[in-house]
Amino acid sequence: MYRYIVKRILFLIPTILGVAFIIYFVLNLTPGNPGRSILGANASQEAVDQLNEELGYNDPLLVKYVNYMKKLVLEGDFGTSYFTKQPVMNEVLPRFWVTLQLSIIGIIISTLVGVPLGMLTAVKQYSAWDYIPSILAFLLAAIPSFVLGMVLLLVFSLKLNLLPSYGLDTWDAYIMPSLCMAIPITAFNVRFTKSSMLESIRADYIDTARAKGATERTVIWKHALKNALLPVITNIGLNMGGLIMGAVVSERLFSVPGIGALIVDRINYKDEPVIIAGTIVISITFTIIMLIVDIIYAYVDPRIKAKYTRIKG
Amino acid sequence: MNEQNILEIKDLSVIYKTDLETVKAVNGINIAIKKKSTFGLVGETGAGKTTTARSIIRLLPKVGHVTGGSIEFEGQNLLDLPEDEMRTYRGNKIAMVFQDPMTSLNPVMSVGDQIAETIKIHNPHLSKEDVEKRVEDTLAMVGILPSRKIDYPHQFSGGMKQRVIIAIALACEPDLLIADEPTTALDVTIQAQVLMMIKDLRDRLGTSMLMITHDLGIVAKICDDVGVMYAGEIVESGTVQDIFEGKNHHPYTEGLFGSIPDLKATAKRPQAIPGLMPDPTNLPEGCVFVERCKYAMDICRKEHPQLSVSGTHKLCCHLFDENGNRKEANHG
Amino acid sequence: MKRIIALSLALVMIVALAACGQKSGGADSDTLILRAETAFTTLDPANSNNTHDIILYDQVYDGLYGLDEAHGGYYNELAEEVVANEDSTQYTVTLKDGIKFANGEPVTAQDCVFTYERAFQNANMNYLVSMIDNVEAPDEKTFVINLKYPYAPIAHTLFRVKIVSEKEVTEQGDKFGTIPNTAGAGPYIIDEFDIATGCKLIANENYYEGAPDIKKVEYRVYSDPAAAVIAFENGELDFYDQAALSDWESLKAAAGDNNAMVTGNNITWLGINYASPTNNNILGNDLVRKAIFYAINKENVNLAVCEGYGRTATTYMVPEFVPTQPTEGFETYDYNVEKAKELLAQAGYPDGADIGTILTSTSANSSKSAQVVQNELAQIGLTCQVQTLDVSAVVERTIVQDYDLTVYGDSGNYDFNNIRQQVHSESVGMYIIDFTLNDKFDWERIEYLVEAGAATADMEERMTYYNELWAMIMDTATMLPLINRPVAIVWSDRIDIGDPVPTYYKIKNFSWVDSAE
Repeated sequence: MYRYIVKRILFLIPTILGVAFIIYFVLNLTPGNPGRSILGANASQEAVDQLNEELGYNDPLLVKYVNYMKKLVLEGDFGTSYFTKQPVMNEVLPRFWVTLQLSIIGIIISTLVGVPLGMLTAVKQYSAWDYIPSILAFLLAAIPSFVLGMVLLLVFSLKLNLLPSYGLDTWDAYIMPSLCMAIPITAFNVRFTKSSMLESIRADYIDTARAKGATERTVIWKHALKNALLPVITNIGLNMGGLIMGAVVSERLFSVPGIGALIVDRINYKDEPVIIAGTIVISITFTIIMLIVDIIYAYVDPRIKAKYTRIKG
Repeated sequence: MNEQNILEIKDLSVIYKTDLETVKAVNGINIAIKKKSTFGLVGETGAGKTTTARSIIRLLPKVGHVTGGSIEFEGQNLLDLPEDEMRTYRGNKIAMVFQDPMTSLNPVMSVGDQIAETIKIHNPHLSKEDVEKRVEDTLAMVGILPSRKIDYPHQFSGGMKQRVIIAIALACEPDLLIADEPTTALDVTIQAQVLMMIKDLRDRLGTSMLMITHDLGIVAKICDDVGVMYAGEIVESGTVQDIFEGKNHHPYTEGLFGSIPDLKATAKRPQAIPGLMPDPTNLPEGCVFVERCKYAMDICRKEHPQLSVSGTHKLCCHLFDENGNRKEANHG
Repeated sequence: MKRIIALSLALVMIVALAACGQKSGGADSDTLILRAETAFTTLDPANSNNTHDIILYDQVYDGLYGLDEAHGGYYNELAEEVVANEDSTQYTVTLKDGIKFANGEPVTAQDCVFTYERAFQNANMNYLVSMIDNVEAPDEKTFVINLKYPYAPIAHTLFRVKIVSEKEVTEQGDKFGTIPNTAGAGPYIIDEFDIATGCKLIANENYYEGAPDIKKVEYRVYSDPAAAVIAFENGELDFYDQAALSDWESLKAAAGDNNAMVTGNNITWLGINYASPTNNNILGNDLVRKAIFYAINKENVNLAVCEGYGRTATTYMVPEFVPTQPTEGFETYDYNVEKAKELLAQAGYPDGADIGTILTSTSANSSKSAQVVQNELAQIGLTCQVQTLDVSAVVERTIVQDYDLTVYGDSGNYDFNNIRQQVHSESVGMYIIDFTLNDKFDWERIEYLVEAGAATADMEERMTYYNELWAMIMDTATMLPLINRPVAIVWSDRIDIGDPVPTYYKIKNFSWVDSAE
């Protein structure tokens, strides 16, 4: 098992190398340059060129890439932002932490609400307990998150005056951004859990369990559920990764200083160091989350556990 | 109910009713299983064998309904029982083994736990150690190392999985074991092994058995009485000698035996019974077998044949009179 | 099932608690809350040309001059008196008495020297100080600016270059601009600064004019305009300028009497590259260019871009803010479709032609204007594409004349001398029409007029030059001013904002409305 974990963590290295390269490559293809974006339209071309030169922006792609990697690996230094001239991590880490917090809250809400609801709709299929949550889930999954966010803002901030619309100063400021992120995932969880559960209930081993004389309750909660939850676990991990990356809409709308908004803003300025560092941080987080999910999965599903604890020799 | 019988099914009819159609799966069948004996229920796919089995243990799907008849077990009509009482029978007095061993075990529970579950349900006051002991004993009984109780289903081969399932079924020493094609999914050599084990356990524990199969070879090996089922009806029944060695047979039974390939003779093609089973939503008025019967007569299309009894051998065909004698050939 | 009930109860409880908990992030009773559209990039006034940043600098730092947008012109801020020499090559500034930085140090001429020399180093300030040769401080109160050549419109430079404390800036070193400082001499001091969320200001009690009425200020970054509108309607914002015009009606409803729509100091204009090779240099044909200008109904641009709230323009700069902008005696190419078609036929294209691509930036105003122009031109048979790029990419292309037509925006001009940026071949930075090409126009005369206008301080003399200059430019039919967009401002009834201005408001001019108890 440990070997497996170590192997997965070592995979981070090619991931980071790849991410950095892709970003340099793509930014290289797009027009514009940081010098002009920073100095503005009024600056002379010489000044713009000089600034670009200073920032190292004019170096050929591979040179930039290798220099960046060297600095990163040998000194642990992610460089300084072209835009603010600050060490990149000073900006990236606090904002990453904010997004992570919101994502965690979002995942918790979406799991605690979505999964049980999904189970309910499966067990009580074709009844009102099925139709109402399923239709709701369908609708909520279809609504784009910025529309959802605006509705939340309108209702809870403007009309009801219950929740703050800005930033994260007070604890209740966390509610709406997390909800905005959580609701689409919750809808997804309901539908996915339902289908997984339905599949599980129709399995042959459920017949066996019933034939043993087990109560319907035991059949559902003990036999069907355990099996139904396995793919749901994987999805939770995937969703969390998706949340971190896709939080930018909520962050913008609720004026939350998160990492999604940071990266998107800096793309305009072609602030390569920040973009790369931000993306690397997100990639690492995603890899770790998936690793954790896989480990949990291995513990829950004995078929997978067997794969990883093969006796050597 | 006859004292000698452990299970008597009288005039059982079962339908599957959906919004679109009503499927008449079982139509007025009668089966009597003697104590400590094995009854083989033979027929091709779709005959209604599994429906019958599930009706006994009352595990029909939501769309299945018993529309008539009774199922008496040890004097009690099972169809009258409330659900929580029925549960005390399942796994305890009547156990069922399903068809596909590969998917009939819960993949995330150890086999020991799955066997223990049966024991615990019906013996809630047993101590943990006692339960464990019984689990180990049961495993040993089916020929599996007791130490393997911590292993998971995926660590067993098909044949061993089926043994585990049989272990689960026999853990509480039921009076009646219903086996729905227990060896169909296994390969031939394993089949033989498992069959031998079943036979052995049956003899040791004195369990009565309802063996559902389409394989006449199995019937010959292990069954005492036989019922041939076609399109929801029992068209012929009797002891195993009646069926295998008797003189008169239902044309369907003839066809079944005829379709067994002969090792000695040379033939280009196996002899099948031409045609297919009738549409259960739209059964014919007369005899259900009329479309495929080579002896079909006019009366077969119009009138349902009556039972023809000769000792233990029962037939349901217009070719025979009530006493089991062949009628004068009356083609036309 | 039980879990769901438990969870729903928990959620209901949370919401209920939030309701009776602290007041939802609304306005603190003594803090003024304003919207910042984007995060402030730096607190160093020499390091940014971003209008949003400059608005902040205006609260915290004082320059030698201040800008009076509401009434036009400049006023003395830190300067007591500014005297020019005869040929406008030297300015002598006498500083006011008793002025201090927020850190308590007196403002001296040496600080001015430090500030200006710092500006020479910074590419952002180049367009403001490129005409300065050197600066001196003969004594504590006297600051002398020596120019490379005669230059009259120095006022804007005196306004934009904010004086900072040499002591503190040197102390903070590289950190200056990233952390709060007390190096300014303005009415407010930066208390907190977070590059992601905005900043907080407190009143400078020792401000030489007297401490401002509003003691605490908070700038909040609302990057999403919808969120800002909701915040204003919710009472979480006190002052919201540059409001999107599509929200104007609902904002007005929420603000009641506290709303103003003022003409903005901006211009959206169409430029034509008369040397463009496209379609055999069709744009080099004067008649074609004039036809293009006559074909454009500027009202449609106004409707598309500012919902009709703006106004059409015939001058590059906005006369209310730029007294030196000529307002008559030049071609205006008023909308006349018949004339356009006539000219086009005369030019040899009675059935129309393709004129290439309109290059424009991704800003909504420019791209919408470009689409309207494209549509108007289609009416007389001239077809073209619209290409939108990031503004920095557009600038790169226009500098090297790699475009056919362009819709461009400009703003923040206070003296007609700024036209130099657009028409002088030696201008630095943004540069759209190059009048020197193909020996077509009398570019020497144009550049002479620009320089002459800058060289003299005599207003009458300047106007003769500028009148000729602007008439010449309009004759070339290469630049067509389109519209001035308005600035929509709303504010809460907690404050009185004095005279509304489009860009550079001063919070020191705001005051609390005393609530009648």
